[in-house]
Amino acid sequence: MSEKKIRKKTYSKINFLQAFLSSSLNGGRLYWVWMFSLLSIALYGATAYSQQAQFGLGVTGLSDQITWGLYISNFTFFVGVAAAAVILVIPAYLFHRREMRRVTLLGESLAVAAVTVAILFVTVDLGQPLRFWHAMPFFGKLNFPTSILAWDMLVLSLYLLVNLILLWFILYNKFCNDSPVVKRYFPLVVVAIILGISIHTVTAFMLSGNPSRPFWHTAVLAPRFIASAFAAGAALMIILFQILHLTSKFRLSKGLIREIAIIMAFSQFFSLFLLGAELYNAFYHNTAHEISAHLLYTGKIAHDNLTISIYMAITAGLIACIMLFVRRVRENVALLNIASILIFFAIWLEKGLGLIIPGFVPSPLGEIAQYTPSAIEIKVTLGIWAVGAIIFTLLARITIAIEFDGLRHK
Amino acid sequence: MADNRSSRRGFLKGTVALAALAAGGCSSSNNGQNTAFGDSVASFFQDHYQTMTPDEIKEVLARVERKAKRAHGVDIKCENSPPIANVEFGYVLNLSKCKGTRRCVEACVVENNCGRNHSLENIRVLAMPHGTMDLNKSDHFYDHKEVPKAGEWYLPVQCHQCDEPACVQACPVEATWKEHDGIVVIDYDWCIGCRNCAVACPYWARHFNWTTPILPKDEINLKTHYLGNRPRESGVMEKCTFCIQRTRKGELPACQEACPTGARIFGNLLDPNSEIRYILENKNVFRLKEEQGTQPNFWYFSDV
Amino acid sequence: MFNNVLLAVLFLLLPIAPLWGGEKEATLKLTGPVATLACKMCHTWRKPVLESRVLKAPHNKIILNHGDGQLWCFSCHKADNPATLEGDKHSAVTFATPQKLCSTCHFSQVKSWRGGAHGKRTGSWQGVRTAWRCTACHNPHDPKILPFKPSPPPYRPGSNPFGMTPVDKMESNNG
Repeated sequence: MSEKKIRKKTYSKINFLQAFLSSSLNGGRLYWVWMFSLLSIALYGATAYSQQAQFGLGVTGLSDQITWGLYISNFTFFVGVAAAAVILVIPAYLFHRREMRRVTLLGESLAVAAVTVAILFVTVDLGQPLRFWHAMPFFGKLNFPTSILAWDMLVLSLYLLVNLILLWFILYNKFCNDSPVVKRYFPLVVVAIILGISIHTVTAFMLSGNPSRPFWHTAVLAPRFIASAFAAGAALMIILFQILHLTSKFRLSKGLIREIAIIMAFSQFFSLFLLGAELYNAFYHNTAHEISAHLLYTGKIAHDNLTISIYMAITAGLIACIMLFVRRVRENVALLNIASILIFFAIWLEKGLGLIIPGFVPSPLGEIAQYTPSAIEIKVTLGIWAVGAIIFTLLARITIAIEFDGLRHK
Repeated sequence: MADNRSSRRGFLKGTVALAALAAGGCSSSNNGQNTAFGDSVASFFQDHYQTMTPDEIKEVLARVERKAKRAHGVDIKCENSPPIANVEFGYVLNLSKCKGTRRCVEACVVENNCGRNHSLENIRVLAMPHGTMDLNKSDHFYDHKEVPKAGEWYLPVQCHQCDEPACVQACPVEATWKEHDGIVVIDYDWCIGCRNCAVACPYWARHFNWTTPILPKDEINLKTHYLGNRPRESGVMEKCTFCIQRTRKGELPACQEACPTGARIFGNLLDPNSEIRYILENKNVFRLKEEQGTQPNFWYFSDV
Repeated sequence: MFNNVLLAVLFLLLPIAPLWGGEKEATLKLTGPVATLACKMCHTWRKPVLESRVLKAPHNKIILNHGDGQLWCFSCHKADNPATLEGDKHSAVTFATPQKLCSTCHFSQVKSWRGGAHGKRTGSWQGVRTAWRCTACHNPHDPKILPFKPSPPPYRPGSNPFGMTPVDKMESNNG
């Protein structure tokens, strides 16, 4: 390669970054209101986190009895959202749905934001976050392959990396007026699909690999995670794509929304079916191993709030599932949106707090403890959500600018 | 491999320590080595206990002593006595003799410098109703005028120092491991505080320092071990170490000494003449939650 | 030549062999208070009452609650020297080695105690062990262990008065 050509490439890389910056900094009033409110929520969360950093995790509602709470619940949920990018990538690249390819970039942006959120939730849950380097291969001592948490750290960072590379590669090449040939990045797409399934499977294994916690110790947990992740991810995408359709140059086709709705319907059905299989095991016999489920469904955990939430979640999930299987309802945008919102919150409750907390009750020594998230915990959680929304907004803007608005290097 | 690692880290250490000293150097005397700031920079780069050279460990032990002086105003002695050859510790508990006095819990907290501001007790004594082994029916918070109370028996639980420890398996950074004498230890300076070990443990034997532990100055045990009872900081795990600071010197654990009824028997599993071997060979012992497959080195029996 | 020397050394060691090969108690140090009674002050000139009766001064402080009323002073104390105990084959047993008497009834407990399953060891888990003698825990006249006042229960999560919240922590730091 000649020197001139290299210089040209470097220049256009700088130009690409400039384009990214200008797409982030140029926007209408609505955009700035949105970004400033997100930034202030993020800062609010950061101040709450500084309190936690100063006084330790004692400022949360956690205890030795219930050692994981709101943070890890959100972690498992957002790993699922990140994994759900796969439902766009698989049809687009393995089943050759060309019209879906343009949208996969938005799915990948969502995956990057969701993985970042998941990683942030683990980080704020650490007692000694400054020692993060102990988990770095070569520098620290990553307990790989024995510890499933080590696997989780590894696949999450790889998934983040692969998605960033894919986004960069496709967008940058398009930006240089050089539409990339699928063949050139297809191997990376396959890696991303495998990693997408892996991150959520490994997260499920991290919980289900604990015989000491019978509530999680079930082989159904990993498939249940994947099914519910696809449902919740699809729900989130349906809502987000419509918002983007209204606020940007992004155009959402009816066909696409229909396909995502069908994926959501089947995923939600499987998610509920697997939950039902769990419930059968829990209630057909009254064994000591199923006591967590009994406590959860009969209202002895967390001042009954969790019981109410889990019944709300199951009811909402069921209603949404039935709605989605009726064609006329599914193809009515307003009703589809209601079903999507129901599914999103149902799954957030069911595999977030509704899964993590009951695993700790009773404790391995039979103690029944209570958990209520503290104000600081809730503030930090809101802050991290805001960070995720900021990342998605920025990535979606540059993606839409290049993919749908024809932004190119001059 | 180890050389590569340490040289890489040495490089990291050098550059970042320089930057840190430049940033906060004004307050430091003595090259910043023995100040609070210098110590926290050095702690940040401290290596894993098992990969440190003897010289590095010496430095670390001195730093632990300085930190305790700063935090609690006491002169502790921090050692790292190694395991004794041909020794593997085990514990047996006589359930007929345990009367639920909780003297073991009290002695443990003081001996091991456990923070008084948490319910950080490495032993839990469960009051069980007669006729059941279901831990879910246990009462952890009994506060009777007198024990034993009619209709109850008592089940103390602490770390079982398993041969296949689920906690060691769970730790993502190898901050916890099983020593040659059977004790499962934690490097408090390597633990990142993710609490995955606490989730994995079937005996609820791992406890977290949710905030900086508060220790009454006059109750601090000055004889400490690096892997045992040295004062901990906020955000790290801790657990029962069979009083590593005592037992590695031939003494008995504090809980055994405190028990007024002789329900606790501690000893060397590899010594055929030890009390523990006598019990394992002559009494009907059992292990709690053996179905978890962690091979505990802690047995129970019931004998008058 | 070497073999002969070895044989000679072994032969010389024979008399002290019981020290390590013999009864386990030989390697067991005993601890706990030992009563010293001045029985002889009276009982050289006054014969002990051998029949069961209500105890009068100076024995009125003794509450005999051992053996469901089947036992009397001389079930254990030697009649001709009450400061010693009635051992096996009428040998005298001192208060320092009560297990030799206790074992006549509680043989299984004493066997467990020798092995280390009953009673309590102190000092070290290796080398010569120190065991509490029977009478260190059991009052021989009333051997049942008395109830205890238990140490305080653990704090329920979040209820520790030292506090887990920042506000509480700052207060305790100031105080």
